[in-house]
Amino acid sequence: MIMIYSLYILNRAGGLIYQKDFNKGLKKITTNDYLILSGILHGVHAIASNISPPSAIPSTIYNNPSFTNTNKSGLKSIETDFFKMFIFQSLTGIKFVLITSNNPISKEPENINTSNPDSFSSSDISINRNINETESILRKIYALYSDYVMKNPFYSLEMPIRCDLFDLKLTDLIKSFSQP
Amino acid sequence: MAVYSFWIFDRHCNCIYSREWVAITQDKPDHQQEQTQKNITNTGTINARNQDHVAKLLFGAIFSLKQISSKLNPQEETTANNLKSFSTLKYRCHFFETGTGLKFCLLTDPKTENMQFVLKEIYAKLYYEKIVKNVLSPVDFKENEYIDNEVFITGVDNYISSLAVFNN
Repeated sequence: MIMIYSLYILNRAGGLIYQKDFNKGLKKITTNDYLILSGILHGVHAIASNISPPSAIPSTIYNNPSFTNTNKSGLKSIETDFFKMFIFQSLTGIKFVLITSNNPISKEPENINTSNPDSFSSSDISINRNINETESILRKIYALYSDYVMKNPFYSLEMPIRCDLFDLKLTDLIKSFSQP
Repeated sequence: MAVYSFWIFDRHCNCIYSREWVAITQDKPDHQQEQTQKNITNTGTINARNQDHVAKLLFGAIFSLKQISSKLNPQEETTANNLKSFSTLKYRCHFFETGTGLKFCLLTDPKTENMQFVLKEIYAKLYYEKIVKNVLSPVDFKENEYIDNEVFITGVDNYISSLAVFNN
C-alpha cells in the first residue's frame, strides 16, 4: 500500500517553488521552515556528490534508458524512521522531492535478490526497490509539470507554481497510486 | 569492493576515527584484451589527515539531514525520528547515532541493504569494550586526536571484512 506524504519542487537555485501535502504523516511546519528545508536539501545534494569515495562505481540499478532522471551523483534518497525521501532531478536542474511512508511501497511482497543475507526486516530491505518505484511516480510528475506548468503561458520560470490544472492532475495521479 | 569507508564522530563533531578501504585495480599483464582484474586487498588508510575535508563534508551532510528528519517528525513529543541512511548513485551512507551523541557512518555500495546493525555491533562489541572501558583512552578526544588503539582498529577491520557485502 502506497502512502505519499508530500511533494516539493525546487528550482535551479534551490528555492521552493511548489509544496503540497497529500497525506497526513508529517509534521506541519511553517512556510519559512519549508523554504529552509529545501535550501538544506539543495546544499546537501551538492555536498553528497563531493564525498563520493574515489573508488566508487556508479550503480547500474537505474540503467533503464527510459529514466529521465539526471540525478547522477547527487543525493538520491534519504531513509529515516518515519519517512523516506526521494530526489529526482530534471535535465534543467529542477528537483522533485517526494516524501513517502516508510513501509514497502509495492502491493505484493515480491522476492528480491538480497545481496546481503544479514539483513532482516522487510522495511529495511525495501529501499532499493522503492527507488525504482518512486522513480516512475516522479517521472509521471515530471511529465505533468512539463504539460501543465511549462506549457502554461502565464507561468514565469523559476517562480512559485500556481497552476490549478497542475494541482488537479497531480492530485489525481497521487490518488491513483494510493488505491489499494 | 562494496564497503568504502567507516567513520566515527564524537559529540563535539570531531572525526575521531576514519578508515578507508581501497580496491586496487590492476591491469592484467596478459596479452588478453583490456581485461582488468580487481584485486581486493586489505589496504587503505586509517585516520588519514588528508581526509579531513571529507570528514567535515560528511559530518555536515549528516547534520543537515538529521535536522530535516527531526523537523518533519510527526511524533515530535514522544519519539525521535532517527536518520538511517542516505544514498546517491555511487554510494550509500549508513548512519547510527548513540544516546551519547557518538555518530557512526559506513559508506558502502548503493545496492547494500540497511547495515545499521553493523554499526550497532561495532559500538556495542568494539567501541564500548575497547575504548569506553579502556582506562588509557581519553573520555573526550581532543581535536585532531584519533583512536589509535590497535585492538579496536584490527577488531573493526576484521569485523567489517568478515561481512558478506565486503567482498562483493
